Order: sequence, then structure tokens, then C-alpha cells
Amino acid sequence: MTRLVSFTIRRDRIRILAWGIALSLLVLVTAAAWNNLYPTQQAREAFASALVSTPAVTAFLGPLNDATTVGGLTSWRLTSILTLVLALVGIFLVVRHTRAEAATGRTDLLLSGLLTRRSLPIAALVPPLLTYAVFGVISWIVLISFGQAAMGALIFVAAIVGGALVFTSLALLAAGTFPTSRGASGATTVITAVFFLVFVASNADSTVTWLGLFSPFGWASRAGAFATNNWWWVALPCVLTAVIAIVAVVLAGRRDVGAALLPQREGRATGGTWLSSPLSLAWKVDRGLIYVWLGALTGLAVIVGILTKSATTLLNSSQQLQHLIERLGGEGNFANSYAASLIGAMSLATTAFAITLMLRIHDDEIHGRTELVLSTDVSRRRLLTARVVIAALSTLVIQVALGLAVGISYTIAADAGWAPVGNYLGVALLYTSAIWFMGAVALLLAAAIPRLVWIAWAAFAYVVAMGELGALLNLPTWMQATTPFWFVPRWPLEDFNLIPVVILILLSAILVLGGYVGLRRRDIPA
Amino acid sequence: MIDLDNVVKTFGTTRALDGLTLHVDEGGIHGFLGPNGAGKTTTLRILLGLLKPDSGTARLFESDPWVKPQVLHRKVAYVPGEVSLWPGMTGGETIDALGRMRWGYSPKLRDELITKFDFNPRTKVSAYSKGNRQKVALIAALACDVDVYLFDEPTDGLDPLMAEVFRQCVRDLHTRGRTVLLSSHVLAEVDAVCDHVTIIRAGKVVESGNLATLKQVAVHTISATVEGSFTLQDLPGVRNIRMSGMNVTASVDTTSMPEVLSRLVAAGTTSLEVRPPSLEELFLSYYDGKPNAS
Repeated sequence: MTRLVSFTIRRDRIRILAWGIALSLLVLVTAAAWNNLYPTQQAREAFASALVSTPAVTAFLGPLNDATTVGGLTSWRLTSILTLVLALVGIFLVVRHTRAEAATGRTDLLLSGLLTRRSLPIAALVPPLLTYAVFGVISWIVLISFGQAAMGALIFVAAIVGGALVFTSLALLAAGTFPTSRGASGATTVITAVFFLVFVASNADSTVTWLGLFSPFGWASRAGAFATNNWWWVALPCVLTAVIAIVAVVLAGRRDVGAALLPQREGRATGGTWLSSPLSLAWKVDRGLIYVWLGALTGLAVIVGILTKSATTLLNSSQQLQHLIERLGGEGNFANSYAASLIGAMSLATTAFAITLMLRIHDDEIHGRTELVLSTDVSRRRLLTARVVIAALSTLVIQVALGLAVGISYTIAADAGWAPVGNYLGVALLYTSAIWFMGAVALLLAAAIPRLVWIAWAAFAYVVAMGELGALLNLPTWMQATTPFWFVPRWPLEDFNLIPVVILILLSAILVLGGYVGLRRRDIPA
Repeated sequence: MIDLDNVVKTFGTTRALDGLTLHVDEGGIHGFLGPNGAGKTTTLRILLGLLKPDSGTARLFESDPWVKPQVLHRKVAYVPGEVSLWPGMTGGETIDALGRMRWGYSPKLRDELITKFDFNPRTKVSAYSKGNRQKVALIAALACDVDVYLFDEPTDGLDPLMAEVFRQCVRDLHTRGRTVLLSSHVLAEVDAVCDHVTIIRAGKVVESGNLATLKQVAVHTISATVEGSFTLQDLPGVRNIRMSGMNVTASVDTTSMPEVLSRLVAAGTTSLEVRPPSLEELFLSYYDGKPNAS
């Protein structure tokens, strides 16, 4: 058992350290930003009083429990997001060490030693636990070095880790339930997303706050780091995690190695007659991913539409803030800028989807599937075109769907007529140009310079960081203008200007052409 | 049909092909032998136009595969060595998708092959073993009636029964006059189905030709029972001499064979066997640098 654990740690030591350190860096940067922007308690409270009147702004983050300290603001800003990211990392690591191992037959190799069937799921929990420990210790030290309360900092990291652990142990259970690793991680990710949406919805309106009681994200927020410091909300997820993990381990002990609770479903013996070209093949392979993202982002967009409505209502109820609204050009304009910024954030999610889809070109190549298809009557050009068409159209459909969803749900909630529907659809469509540009970068890398594909994700991280921190850290304009999203006009607040959009689309086309040329000239596999 | 002339291909500092020359005639069943890393897969990829040779010429149907690969692919079916498929699809769906992207795909032939290979087309690809993934690629290729079949270690992962089914399929292709290039390191397989072989080492051909002829001219093993006294030590081209009582065995080059035989007969031989090398012995002789290292 100790040998298995140390073997598991050895295999994942880089991942454990990378995730743990990267996520605690986020704590460092955020705490530093609050420290610089609002150095005094007065400044922080002034910020908070403006914010508290707009709880809808905080829908994704939960209520602000403590506005007086840097730690309180950091905790408010990061708790839900970090819980989400740590949960996803945990799911990935657990499935990697259980279902994925069983599928490749490595499990049998390990169990032919002295191990019992139960030791594998136990060992699979070690990498996520260590990642959380690295994250927790560094973040705790970071917050203390900013002069924050040790107890509050401890509750902060414990609440995040506790929430993430619930989903990590669920992944362990799913790994024994689903016959494939895609099924196991997919199901756990969907559960995590649903609980996150429950939490977001619970913050949207004071009448539904109780919904948060049913979501681990709500528990993490209720722990009230730096304010109430309530240990009960930390203990709850830990107890739940223990129960789920024990069930998973006991079940694993009773099953054949590699067996799953759900049987491997059989499928069709023949391909539908339409399945006869690289385009239909790409559609067949990608449609699952497309449906999931379409569903998730449309669901989120419906919530965003309702949030927009409640944000406006709450602002209107305050005398002071009505002035602010009037300065912004009236209620309609406030709603527009609010919804537009959230559509911008969702467009970043669509970008992640587009990059994932484009990098499947590379994934196919390193797994030899490209070679197999190219040995048929399919040219390199047709193979790439299939991917480009699927990616371009599916991102367009997702943007249209989320623009319409925001517009329609806002219009129904606010009884505002059909104009907002057109507005928000327009906003979402304008962002499509920047999404295509990022997708085209990923395509160029995958098609022409495959050893550099990691740049696609690095560029995405850079764009997200610029969007999140650029304004917060008051970075110079030229620096913020290094991302395609900066050029998308903030219509309807700014003029409807198609020139930057057309330029972005033209640049994307050039990048795609570069991809075609590069793919035609190089060896496959590279 | 397949003509490679002095082909060089390097990856970084590795010289994968170092002046490889290979000719396969129409209707030939050509075995392509070499250990892992000798350049077999690289050769097949060049023939498919996936890789561009650094120098030398590669021709398939007298055209350059790098210039217009997909036109040539209408006459070719290929089975790669490492088969990885699209997770989430069934084996049957994958076979149909691949088959329909080739020319000459016959659903009837597909169904026959599925029965022959005892294959369950309804299973999801992610649940297949290596052998079953190999069957997907094999059925998708064999269900197409094309002129040339390229196989890269096709029976790797198949059990012996299925490997025999594959051999039968190759023999059928031969009767129908199709051309096959079969890369393998299973010597028995090549021995069983191929009429020509090419043996490569480190990107170079070390031997190529008709399998029967190669065996004829190569070192033979003789074993004899001899009553009188004699010596073979002084003859060139005679190795591995082993004597025990009246029995003697040795490896003998074709050039020394007459002299060896006359000495043995002169000494009074009561039984004599001259055996050509198996393909395995032939193959090993090129790799160990010593003939008949068995």
C-alpha cells in the first residue's frame, strides 16, 4: 500500500505541485490587488457599501461576509471560483488513477502485486489531497503574510478544500459506476456544474437564498471566513466526503477489478448512411461535447438574464444609486452594460470550447487517427475543413443561443419588449469574432506547428488574466490591448462598429489559411 | 507497382531510412521484415504520402505519393500498426466510416469478415482490447476491393486463431491478383504467406528477393552420420561444427557444399541430411552477423 501510494505520488508530483502552486498564486495576486486598490478600511467599506446594494453582482461569488479586511475581500472574490477549479482538478486526478487505469489495463499490473482491490480507490485520493494541501498551506501563508487573521485564513482554505472534496469523492464513486473514464469524469463534472448553478441561482434573489443550503458552494460561502468563521460549514462537507469515499471503497472491494456498476452499453452495429465523410465523422465525434457546452452555457445565460433584471431593480430601490443609473444613461443602459459584461465572460467559456475542439486535430494526430483517415480517399485539406466547419458553426450556434437566452429571459423577467433580445444577440455575435480568432490560433498551431500546441492554452490563460486583472490592476492600455477581446466594441454602450470585428474575422481567416499551408507541407505524424 | 529508390528520411539526428530501395511487383505478396525501429513504418508512411522523403524517389503506380496522395489512395487500403480509434463510437460504426471513405467498400464483404474474425461490432471502441481495435482496422481495409494492401504488423495483438484467419485473407488476395506489402516481425507469418521478402536493418535493405531463392543460396545445415575420420575445420564457409560420436552437424555455405559433401562421402557416410534455413535462421543471420546462429 505504501508502495502504491508513493508510486502514485511519483507519477503525479509535477501535476500536484503545478496546480497547488498556480492556484495559490491566484490568492496572492488577488490579495495584492485588494491591498493596492483599497489600502484603508474606509476605502474597503466604501467599496462594499456600493456593492452590497447590488447583490446580483455577487451572484457568482456569494454574499460579501466581511468587507473590512483584505482577507475578507479575497475570500469573497475567490471562494466559489477556487472551489470550482479545485473540484475539477480533483475529479480529473481521481478518474485518471481509477477508471482510466482500469481501461488501459495498468490496474491489473498493479494488482498482480500484493495489493487489495480496495487500495486503488484509496490511493487515487492521494494526489488530489496533496494538491489541496499544497494549495492550502501556501495560500494560508500568503494571507498571513498580508497581515490577515490566522483563523480566518484557515477557514478560507478549509471551506474551499471541503467543498472541492465532496466532488472529488463523488468522482471516486462515479469511477466505479461508469464503464468509461469519459463517462465518469463527464457525469461528475455535470453534477459539479449543476450545484454551482444552484449556488448562483440562490444568490440571485433573497427569496431563494435557502437554495444555497443544498450546494457545497453555498456551504463554503456560509463558512464566512474572516467574519463568522463558522466551522460547522467546514465540517459538513468533510463528513459527507468521508461517507461517499467509504461507500466507494467498500463497493470497489466487492466488485471485480475494472468492473463498473453500469454495464458497458452496446451501440449500433453499422454506421448510419450519412457517416461517410470526414465532416460527418467529426460531427459524430464532437457532437457530445457540443451539446454539453450548448446546454451549460444556455442554462447559465438564462440565469444571467434574470440576474440582469434583479440587479436593475435593486439599484432602482436606492436613491443614491438611481443617480448613478441616470448618469449611465438610464435603466436600459445599466442593464445593457451589466448583461454585456457577463456575455463577455461567457464568451471566454465559448473560447475554451473552441480551443478544445481545435486541439482535437492534434489529439487525433498523436493517436494515429489522422494517419488512418489520410490513408483513405481523404485529403489533408478536406480533413482540416471538416474540423474548421464544425468548430466555426458550433461556436456561432452557442453564441446565438446564449445571446438569445440572456435576451429572452431578461425580457420575460423585466417585461421589456423585444429590443433587449436583439441587443444581447448582437453583443454575443460581436464576441464571436474574438472567439474565432482564438480558435484560429489553436488551429494554426495544431495544423502547422504541433509541438507548440500548448501556446493555445497559454494564450487563453493570458486573455482571461488580462480580462480579469487588466482593469483591476490598472494596467496600461497598450497591455490590455494585446488580447482580441479588447477590440470587440462594447455595443450598445459604445457605437456599433463593425470594423474591428471584420478585421478580427479576416485575421482568423489568414491564420486558418496558414494552418492549411502548414499541414500540407509537413510530415504526418510530425 | 511499388518502387522506392535510394530513399533517405531523417528525423532530427536519427536516420530512419538510409538509402532504402524496395520494389514490389503487381500481384506479389511481399514480406517486409525488420526489428522495431528498423524503418518499416516510416517506409509505409512515405508510400502513403504522409511523410516526405529527404532524398530518393518513392513511386506508387508510377506516381509520387507526396504530390497527389488521395488519388493514389483510391487504389490502396492501409492497416497501421498502432490502432487508436475514436472513443464513443462502436466498432461497426468505425468500420463503416473508414470503409466508406475508401474506394471499393463492400458492406457484404464487411459482414463476411465480421463473422470470420468473430468480431462484435456493437461494442464501444473504448472497451476494445488491442486485438479488437486491430480487427476494426483490418476489416475496414479488407472489406475494400482495391489494388494494393499495405499492412503494418497487422497481427500484433491478435490471437493465433485470428492470425490464421488473416493469413487466409492474404492468400485470397493473392488468388485475386492483388498486391500486398506486409510489414511484420512475425517470421512464421511471412514464411507462410509471402513469395518475396525484404529484410531491412537500420533503414537499409540487407537482403531482398524471392523467398525460395534466398533460402536456396543461404547457408544450409547438414547433419550426417560418418564412420571414418575426416576434417572440415580447414574449409572456408563452414561453421558451428559439432561432433558427437559418429554424428556431425555443421553450417555450410553453398560455395563449400561440394567439397564438404565429397569429404563426408569419402569418409563413409551412412546417413545425410541437408536442410535449407528457416526464415528465422535467415533473418537472424543478418542480424547477428553470423550465419545460422540457432
